[in-house]
Amino acid sequence: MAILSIRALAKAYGGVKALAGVSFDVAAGEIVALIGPNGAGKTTLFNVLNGQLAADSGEVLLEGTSLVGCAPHRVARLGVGRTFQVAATFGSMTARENVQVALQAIHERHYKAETFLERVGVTERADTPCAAFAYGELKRVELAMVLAQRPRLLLMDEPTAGMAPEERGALMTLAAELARSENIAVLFSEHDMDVVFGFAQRVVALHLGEVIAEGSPDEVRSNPRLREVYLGDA
Amino acid sequence: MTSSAVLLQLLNGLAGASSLFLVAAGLSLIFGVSRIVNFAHGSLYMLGMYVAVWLSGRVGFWAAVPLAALAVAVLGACIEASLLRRIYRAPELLQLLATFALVLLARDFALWAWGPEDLLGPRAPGLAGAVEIAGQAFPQYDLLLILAGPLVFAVLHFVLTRTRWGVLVRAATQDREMASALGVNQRWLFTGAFTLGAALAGLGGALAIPREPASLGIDLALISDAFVIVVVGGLGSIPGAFVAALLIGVIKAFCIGLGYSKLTLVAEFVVMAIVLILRPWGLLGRPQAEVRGTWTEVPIGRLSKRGAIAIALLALLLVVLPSLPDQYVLVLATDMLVFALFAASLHLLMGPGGMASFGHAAYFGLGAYACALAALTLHWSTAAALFTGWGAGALGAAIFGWFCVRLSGVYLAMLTLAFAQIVWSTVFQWDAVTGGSNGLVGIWPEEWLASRTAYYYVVLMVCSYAIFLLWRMAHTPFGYALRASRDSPLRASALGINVRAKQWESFIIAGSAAGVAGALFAFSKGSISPETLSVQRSVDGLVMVLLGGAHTLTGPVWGAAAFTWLQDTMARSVEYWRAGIGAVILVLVFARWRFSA
Amino acid sequence: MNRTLLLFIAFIPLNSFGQALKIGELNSYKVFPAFLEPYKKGMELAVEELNSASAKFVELVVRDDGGTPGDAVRVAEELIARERVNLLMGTFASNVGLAVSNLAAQRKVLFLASEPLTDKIVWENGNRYTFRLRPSTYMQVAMLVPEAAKLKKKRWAIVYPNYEYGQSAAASFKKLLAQAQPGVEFVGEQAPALGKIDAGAVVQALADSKPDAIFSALFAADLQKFVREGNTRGLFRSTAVFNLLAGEPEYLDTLKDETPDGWWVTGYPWTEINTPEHRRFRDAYQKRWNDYPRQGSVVGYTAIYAAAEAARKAKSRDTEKLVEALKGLQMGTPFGAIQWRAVDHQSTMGAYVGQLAKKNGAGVMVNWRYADGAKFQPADEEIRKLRKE
Repeated sequence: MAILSIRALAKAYGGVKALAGVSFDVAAGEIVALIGPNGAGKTTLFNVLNGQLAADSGEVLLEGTSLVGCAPHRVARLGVGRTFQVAATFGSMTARENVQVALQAIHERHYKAETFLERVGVTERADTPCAAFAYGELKRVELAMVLAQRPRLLLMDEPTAGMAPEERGALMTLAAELARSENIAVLFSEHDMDVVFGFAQRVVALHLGEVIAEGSPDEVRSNPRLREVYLGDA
Repeated sequence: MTSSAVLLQLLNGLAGASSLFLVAAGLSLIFGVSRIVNFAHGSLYMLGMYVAVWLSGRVGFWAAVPLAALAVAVLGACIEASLLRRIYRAPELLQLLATFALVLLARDFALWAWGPEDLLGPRAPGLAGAVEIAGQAFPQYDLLLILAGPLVFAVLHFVLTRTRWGVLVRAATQDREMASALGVNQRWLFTGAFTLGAALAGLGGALAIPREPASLGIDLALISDAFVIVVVGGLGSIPGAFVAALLIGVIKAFCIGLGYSKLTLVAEFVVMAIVLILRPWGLLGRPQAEVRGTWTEVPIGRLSKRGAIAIALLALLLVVLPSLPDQYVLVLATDMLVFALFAASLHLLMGPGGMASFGHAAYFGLGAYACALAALTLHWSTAAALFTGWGAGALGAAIFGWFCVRLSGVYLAMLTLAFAQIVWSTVFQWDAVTGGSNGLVGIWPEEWLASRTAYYYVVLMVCSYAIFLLWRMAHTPFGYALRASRDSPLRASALGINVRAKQWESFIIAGSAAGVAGALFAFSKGSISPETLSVQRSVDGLVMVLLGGAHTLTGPVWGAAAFTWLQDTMARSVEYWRAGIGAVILVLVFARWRFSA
Repeated sequence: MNRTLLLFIAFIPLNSFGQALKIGELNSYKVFPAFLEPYKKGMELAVEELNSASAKFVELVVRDDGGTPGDAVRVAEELIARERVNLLMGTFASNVGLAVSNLAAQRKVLFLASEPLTDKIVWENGNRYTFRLRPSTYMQVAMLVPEAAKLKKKRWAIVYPNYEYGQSAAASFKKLLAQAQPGVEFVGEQAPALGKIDAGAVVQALADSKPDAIFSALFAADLQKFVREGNTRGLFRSTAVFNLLAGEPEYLDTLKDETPDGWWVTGYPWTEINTPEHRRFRDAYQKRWNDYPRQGSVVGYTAIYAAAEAARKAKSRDTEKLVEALKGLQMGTPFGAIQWRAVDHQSTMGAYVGQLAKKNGAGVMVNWRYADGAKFQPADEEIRKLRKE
């Protein structure tokens, strides 16, 4: 069953169409990669999905509930978690407090912050202020916070950007495991094709605000339109 | 108004706008490049006036004007190179505090150098008379002023767009890091911008002396006008400042021309509030690029064991204080406690909330007035009146905060200032209810609480309980959510926190605490007047918080106590006590910054 | 030899109390220095005269009140509680004066308000413990009104600083002139913010209302700006002008060669008052300070003497006795004899009413006469009603 359904979503800045009628679905437990060159509209799509930007037209459904017009905090409470291209954490708080804030935001009392810190593997530094963390660790803390939200849909905007290659695989393995065990739908954008083809079950390719290819990694890899866009093949 | 009256008032407005534009342009330039909100800019203008009056008695008016501008420019360069350069990486508000210290120093310097009397400069030789326009006499000199504004604007525009230095200044205004990445020598750029800004302020002051006497109070009067113009025009935008200066100058002239001269008290702030609500970045401003990586918020620690012991000892001391023979200690302690609560409430906004409020006195004053009215006209009991103060502070903050949380940074701060000024001028002019400029008198607590000791205990109990609640709030889910909203609004809202709602709640809580402080203040003094909610009180609050440290939990309380005590002692024993306080603040700013850096 | 001098001499054997009379003075020295520095010199002169080399009759403790009611109340508390002064004295701005007066009533301490002009301090907000020296706003307006009515001008415009002093000056003027000259019209009213007058626009607006005469309550920097703009724009060429306080040296001297001719003002023509009591004061002041006296000097000087006189009459330091002694007290001052009215605790100190003129590039007062404060008071009945007694 589709957790996220996007239908004919459009958004323009002035005269430039950032999204020109995008439609696709993401199912529970499914990991979908969103690819495309810079300026394809990936970040715009994420921002529209989590409510930071208002779409001009089209529909976004989360398990049948429309997200259009919802503020970011509403979208979050409906079950959408998001990580940012540049990891966003609360610098004045410790890792533990960061996760606690996430738990408090949804009035979650059952779970403890440790549970999530354990899952991402930063337990021993739980009481260090985030301002003192290395970037890779910060990304993990951010992931722990998002998981503490217990989302049904996880949006990850370039989750591995800025990380060392060996860290990338570890982070994505973690995300994939969690998606499977919690039955979360994951949509991530990515430039690193090794990550995309290593972890995505399905790939959606955007170009100039339109979906130009969609399917399994192998199908998309051989899609002529995509090769044209990426490699300039005629 | 006849058509000739309209024309003349328009010209009056334009003449007034010119010298304001010069000051505002300098302020905007300095802010754009260095991100320093230069509180001392009005003082530079004031010094320009004094120097020009002094020189024009020696070398004549026309030579005095450029010389005064030059002198102020040199002073500006010295200030930048010796003081401000050291604190560019400090938190914005610490910089503000340093420039505020300069205001105090400059004021007492002028008092020492030129004495207390207002000094009117000579009429400008050659332009002393009037010309006839539309059948009425219009000063020749005002025509020169009308031309001076656009002329300086044109020169600035040329410098900023056609010279290499100007291009770098604009680059730095848009993105400081980008500019430094391009290999711009920041030191030279900053000194240059500050010097040019100071020169403009000095020139504005010097050009004003034929129309306006140099006086000691002009610094703060002018800086608030200049802030308004810069913000209405859009921070860092020189054309914006030009448009805003003209707009406000002309509006004021027409208020007078149409017979609504009383509105001039508040006109500019109403304009600013409307502009900020409709265009959050000013008329010609752009959303500010975020300054990255200069300062990260540090965690608010829980009270250490030692700290807890110190506070317990202090509490004990406060309880036994009335047994001292000197009753005045109680009076001073009452003031300290009231301002400690005021500062702690402001700190909730500035520290955990990350929102600088330049108009916190509004809630303090609303609380004081509501309490006074409840006691005087409704004859409510002391306790009921105190609760009324609490409610009035909360209500005021709820209304103003609702608009304010839609903005951020300096714009938010200026909108709080605008609201506070609007409240102030309403209280100032609403004679029938507020007693106008005289205020309300005869606000004493009930008989059994009226002695110094009894009332001191009331204040001690209420303030320490309220401060305790505010402190505890930092570690409640609300406090965490508020700090989260400050640290990263994007992340917070993506976690499901309604950032604006949390900020709005913090406004209401802070406003209600300030309202209680105001109500306690009213009963401790027996009378209140509009100064209860003046800019000066808001500034005092800022100084208290910053002195103690905005990033600590208990700091603002110590800051308030120290500031109140310092003011009390200094005013009694030191003749130039303003300068004394200024010097103490400067030393503390540098000590604090060196300590934490 | 007149009575004033006798009174001065009468102080010589006054040290029999042992302890000096301790006066706690608070004022806004940093906010209104132009008026208050001469004021302080006047006080110090009086203290030196009263204290002989061998014995100290008065002790003066001076404090800056910070210029705000809140701070002033704290400073007054310090004087009461820590310094244990016998009486409070001073204050300048009306709101500060009222706040201290209110505290004095609460703490039951005598407060001799030397400067504040507000009518309320002796009327609506008057209390047992507060006495005021200077002629009030109402009195000074009342002194000008007879001259204004004589001119039979029909169209009047009014300009005043937008705070209580200016507002009540304007209100009293309108009321009193309408009584003295029925049918007078008030065609324009300008109330610029204190210290922030936009003189060009205000002068223009006044001119546009085409008045025959103008009443102004402007002073200090506002007055300077108003005069210069008005001169340049020719506002005063064909209009009579009445301006409260403009003849006081504090404000007049700053006008220099801009001084407008023929304005009716209240003030202090210190060079020309040659009564024995004033000559004595002026000589002593000039000798002591090598400077000429201003209005503030007279006020400070007289206030100290008033406190001393009250103590002498009461033969006590006790507040209640001092209060009783001040009621109806008669004393000499550089302006002549005055009385402290029992009905409202206002002294009858007057002011000089005259016209401005230019002499050697400086402003002076001509055609002046002394207006005795006792003659410019509302009926006692009216005052009792206001004081709710």
